Amino acid sequence: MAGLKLINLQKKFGNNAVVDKLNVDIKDGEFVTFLGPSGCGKTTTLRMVAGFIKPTKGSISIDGKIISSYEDNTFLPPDKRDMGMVFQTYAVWPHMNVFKNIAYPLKFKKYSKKETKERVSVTLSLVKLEGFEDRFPHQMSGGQQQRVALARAVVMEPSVLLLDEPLSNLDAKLRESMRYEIVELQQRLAITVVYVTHDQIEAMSMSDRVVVMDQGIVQQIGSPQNVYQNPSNKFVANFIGMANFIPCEIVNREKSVVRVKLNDGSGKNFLTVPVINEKDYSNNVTVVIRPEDIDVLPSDGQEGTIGTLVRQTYIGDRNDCTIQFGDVLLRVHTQNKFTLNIGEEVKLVLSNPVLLNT
Amino acid sequence: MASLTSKSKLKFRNSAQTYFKWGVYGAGLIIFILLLFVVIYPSYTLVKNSFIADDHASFNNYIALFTSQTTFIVFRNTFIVAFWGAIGATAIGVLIAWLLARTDIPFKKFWRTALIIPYLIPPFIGAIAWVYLLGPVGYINKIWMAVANTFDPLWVIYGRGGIIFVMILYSYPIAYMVTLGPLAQMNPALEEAGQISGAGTLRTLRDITLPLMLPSIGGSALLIFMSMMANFGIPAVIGFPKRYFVMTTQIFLTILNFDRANNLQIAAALSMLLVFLAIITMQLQRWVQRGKSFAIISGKSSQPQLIQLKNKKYVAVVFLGLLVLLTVALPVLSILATSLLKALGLPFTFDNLSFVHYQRIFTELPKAQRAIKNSFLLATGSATAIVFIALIISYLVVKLKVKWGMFLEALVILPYAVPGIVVALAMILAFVKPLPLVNISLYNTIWIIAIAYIARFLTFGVRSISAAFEQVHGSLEDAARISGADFVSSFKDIVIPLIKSNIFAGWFLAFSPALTELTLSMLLFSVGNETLGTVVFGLHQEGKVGMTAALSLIVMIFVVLLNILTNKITKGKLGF
Repeated sequence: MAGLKLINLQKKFGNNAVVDKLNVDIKDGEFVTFLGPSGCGKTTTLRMVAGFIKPTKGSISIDGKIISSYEDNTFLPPDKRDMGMVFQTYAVWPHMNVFKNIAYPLKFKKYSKKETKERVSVTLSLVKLEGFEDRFPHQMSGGQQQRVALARAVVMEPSVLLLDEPLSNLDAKLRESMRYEIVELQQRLAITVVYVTHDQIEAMSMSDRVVVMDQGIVQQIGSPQNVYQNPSNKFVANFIGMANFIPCEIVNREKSVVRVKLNDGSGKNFLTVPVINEKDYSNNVTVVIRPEDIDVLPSDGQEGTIGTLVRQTYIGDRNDCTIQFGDVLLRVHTQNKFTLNIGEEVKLVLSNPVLLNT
Repeated sequence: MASLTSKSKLKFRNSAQTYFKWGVYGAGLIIFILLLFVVIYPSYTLVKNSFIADDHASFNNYIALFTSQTTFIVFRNTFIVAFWGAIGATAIGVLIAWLLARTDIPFKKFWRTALIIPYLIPPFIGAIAWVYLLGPVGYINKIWMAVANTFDPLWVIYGRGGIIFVMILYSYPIAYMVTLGPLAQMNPALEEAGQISGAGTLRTLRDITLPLMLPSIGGSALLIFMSMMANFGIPAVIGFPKRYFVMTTQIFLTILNFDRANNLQIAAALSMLLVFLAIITMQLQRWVQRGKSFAIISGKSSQPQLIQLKNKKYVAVVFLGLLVLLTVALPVLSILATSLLKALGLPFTFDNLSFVHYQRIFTELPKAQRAIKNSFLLATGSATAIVFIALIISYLVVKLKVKWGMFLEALVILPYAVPGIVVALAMILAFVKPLPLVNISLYNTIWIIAIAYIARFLTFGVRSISAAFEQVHGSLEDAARISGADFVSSFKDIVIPLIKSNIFAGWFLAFSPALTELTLSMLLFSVGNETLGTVVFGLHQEGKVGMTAALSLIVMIFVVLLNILTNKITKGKLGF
């Protein structure tokens, strides 16, 4: 059981920093996910935590004990870090059966034969693979192999469990059920988890906190609700969920409320946006609005926020509309069942806007 | 903060890995230097000698070659033999591959094994067998004379036609093996699209399948062309009696022609021409196969539809049966018969059969016994050395990805890419003089043969073990490390077990050609250091027919046993 602290971590390959200025404080028993597009540095970060990559700056500590510090010239190799890890490719050893795969980490913990047997069978039941001891990896499905990998990673009750895109090789249905199983396992073992993925649904559904990364830099750290409802920049807003960006100007600002004019060409549309007290904004700002936070109504000829319907697709649980609004095309998910005609003027109701610097 | 103990421990752990790495670098460097010594130095000596006449630098050797009628004839012979041989062997090989991969021909499993066997019979032994069948007093000719009641043999195999015939019989498996994979894995949708567009079965075959296969077919034809150009055994056995010479045999005779001034240097110049031809062919092959990948869009589970042969099935079965008869059954039977017959020409009656030739090999022929011992020693020793060298080279190239890896790979490939006779000559020229510093001459010792074998067959070991290292994904080792295994344990528990079968495979791939090697041995052996190849060839030249056959059969039994053993140990990956 352990908290994990990454301080000012950096990894440079040559002159190219793939991770830089990374600070994350992970609490004991917390499930933290590093989320970002490929090449964002999330896997590099995980491999620095595991000890496969030496940082070029900064330190990593578990419960205050430093396991890696560039400045102190300390570096604990992976086998001394007391962590478990699940790999994207499963990395289940093909020449060992399930029992031997899972028992392998116990070899280095000096378990007796009897203890080893007990631990392996307890762990197997934890991942719902009772009785699979004698199977070889090639006799198992991808999902089963992934469970073996999971069992091997937790069998020696590591202080931290690392998962590197563990579900990306599974089919969609299995991926969904495995998500719940991993969370359940984490809660039962009350273990600290660091999870890496590019899949926002995985990140949102499993984590206590999400670390959104891009180009080696942390963009935002927060709970799934927080990063979705209050994205700190355009990248985060765009990467997590769908987002509409409407350019606008600040008209006036009170402490925690800003009034903006939307640059849609009409000059008549204003919006009041709640903001954080101390945050500074430049003159050019953007409003972020999620597709489900826009409602579409038939235009009644009165004043209001007016757009033109360009495209609409009915997909069962909602109407997926595209609306021309000034220079921008807005994506709208509305529950309204009435049908509108393409080219028709519609009235828009915008809610839950978030203000961002451009 | 970090405890001191874990810090010092970590230093120790890291150093185990670092020592290992530096150990591999060091060993790699030593191997690199040794390879320079046994590959680059002989190559350099060969090139240099081709420009030396009467101890002076000159172009005289080349001038002598280019002004001689013989060179022209030999050059033409080589081309004709290799050209028609390659066309014949490719046509047969591709047809077999197509029959087995894409039609419903019966007994597929049997054909698959039986049609590969000719590849395992050493070509010079195959040639000797065909002399027993179609020589002037060969079995087939004698039966013909008796049946047709004539004194003229049906066909005497000696000369050009015979060389082409035997070459085809022993190299079609190359074309078969090269084209089988692409044919079997071809994306069936490509052909289905042809059929839906209105093309019939034959039209689809002609318009879609064949063009898509062309790079593979062309590539294998050029590969066969190259191997035929480099072959020594077949033209030596079948060409010598009619004084029909190709480049390899001409180089051989020039080397042994001690009366001729500058004979080694002229042979070197001739070798340069042969190497030049080989390089052109190799480049051509590379060019032909450049776009190969588009035909092999992996068709995982989607197997192409099998074509129904219907009543043509019998024609196909007879064709394949005939091939097995010609390449396996008849040659083996003729050698067996000859080895048991007291004297050639006697009728096959029970009284005329005996084990006398086998007996004589083991009682009167000490060089044959030496050859068995030497060949096994040489093959075992060089295969073992090759595996160790290949382990280090592959680790450097695949796992550590060193920058000088491509130089190492080039050094490994060169001695196999160049015809064997040229390698042998280069070895002679380089090592005939005593080595500097130690003042020991390798020439006339078994060591020069061992070095030549290692250099020539090293590529088999490297290919096999590199492939193994590539298959061991980095995450398998990472998983062991994070499980608590240090570098050494992870290497021992994960890497070694996973590459074990490829190590065995590499060993056998080097061992089997070394055991029956002829070309290098013919030029490098000396009294006391005979090999199986040289003794069989020598006995044949001396006209000791019965003993030649007996020893040939023994060699073939070794080869078969070896293959069964290989199959058992590599769990079906190699051998049959």
